Amino acid sequence: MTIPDIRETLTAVRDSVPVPPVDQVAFRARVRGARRRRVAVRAIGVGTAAAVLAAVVTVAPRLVDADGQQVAAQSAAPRIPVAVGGQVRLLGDDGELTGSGSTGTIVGTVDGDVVTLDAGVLSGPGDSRTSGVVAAYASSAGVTYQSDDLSITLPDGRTAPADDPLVAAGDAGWVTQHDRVLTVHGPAGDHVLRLGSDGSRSQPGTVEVGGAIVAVTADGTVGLYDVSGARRAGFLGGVTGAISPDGATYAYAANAEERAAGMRPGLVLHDVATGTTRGVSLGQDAVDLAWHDGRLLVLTEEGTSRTLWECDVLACRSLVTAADGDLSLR
Amino acid sequence: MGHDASFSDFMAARWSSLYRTAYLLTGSHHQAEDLLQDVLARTSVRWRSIRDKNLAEAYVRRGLVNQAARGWRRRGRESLVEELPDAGHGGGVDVHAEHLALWDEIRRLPPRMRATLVLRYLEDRPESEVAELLGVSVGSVKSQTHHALKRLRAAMTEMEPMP
Repeated sequence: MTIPDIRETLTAVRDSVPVPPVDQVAFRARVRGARRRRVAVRAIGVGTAAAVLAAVVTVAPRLVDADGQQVAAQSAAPRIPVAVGGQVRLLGDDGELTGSGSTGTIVGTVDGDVVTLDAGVLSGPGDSRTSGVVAAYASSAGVTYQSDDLSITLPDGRTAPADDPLVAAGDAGWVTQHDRVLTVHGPAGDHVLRLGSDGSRSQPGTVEVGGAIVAVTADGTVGLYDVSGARRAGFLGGVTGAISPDGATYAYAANAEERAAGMRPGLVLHDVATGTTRGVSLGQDAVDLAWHDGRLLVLTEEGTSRTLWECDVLACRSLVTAADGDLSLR
Repeated sequence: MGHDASFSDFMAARWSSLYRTAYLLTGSHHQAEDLLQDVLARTSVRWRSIRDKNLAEAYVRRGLVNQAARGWRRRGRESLVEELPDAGHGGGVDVHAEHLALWDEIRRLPPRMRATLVLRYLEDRPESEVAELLGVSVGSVKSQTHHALKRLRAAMTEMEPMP
């Protein structure tokens, strides 16, 4: 029995296997189920966000069978894309990093596929490749990207003309920036965001869209707006943060500069709807935060090393540490 | 061409080819149909967001492997299949006797091992790509391949007639 024997056998089986006709009734039922699940994922609300996080952490511990052998968790969490040494690698629950074959900036994940942007080439989801891309953002609906002619392509394939750089996008709209002015393009039209009481002088930093919320950092402050441009909340500090994909929670943690200025260390979960906050213990300086498939990830730095944590409303647990500091989320 | 018509055309054109791949991955007609319908249903819902429709088949094929791998993880630790999932010699596949015997042994392999062989030797994918598709390390792909070949060689040697 040789490898050519295996090739021949597999080819022969492939070519001769009887193929049944499509069971259209069963297929239509599956399509309806897939649509329902997709809508349900989009509709996760404020209350369920914490529950989802807690559930994820609950299943994380390894299961061990009667023989003491490690068994895969019943719901294996999707692997997390991280950047190490210029390469995109996938972090498993066991802390093992495996190659993804991708390079460049991590845009996000769509349907479990990592999407990257490298030298103008947008790769993913799946095997799709698009060149001439200058910016891209992933959400549950898919990828929104801007081409080098500034036109913006939405997840459903529609394109929108634009004159300014795309700086953020999500399910409910996208944001462009002209000098210091941010404009939200949403279902209710285009709206300029007023960045604080002295908006014209504020320099926008990072911008994110989560659900119907736009989170903007500007001059050491955080502003939360809805896609119609209305300001929902704002606070000093917390610029190292991330809005959850459903827009329910803005998570932030003190970075080195903020801690030097007197901000207390730790992770804070800000409930956008109620304005209440909840603190979670985390001793190190935050470098970056991101939400990945309902999981909150926090990257911290201590000396030259970096550690990636997964956090929920109760605690953070370490996923992996890079002693040389070569680890990032994007 | 509208969304529904476009996807229906794609599905009608590629169903047979995709089914054959699903069958090789699962070794079972029932599981193959279940897997393919599931992946195609999700593709249908996302059809408009697939920018380059020429890559749709590759997208579905990747989905087949990903979904199958998720199923194996859900079922936990893999074990040798004592009873073949489909009744009938070779699962009803009409091939030469020597191919049939080897296919029966391939079907007895744990699903991840079988998929590794299909991806490596039928689809000629490099080890790194197989590792990415199955969500395992390259070392694991090498190990799975090694053990699969070892099991098959042992099984096929046992079946050879005594001189």
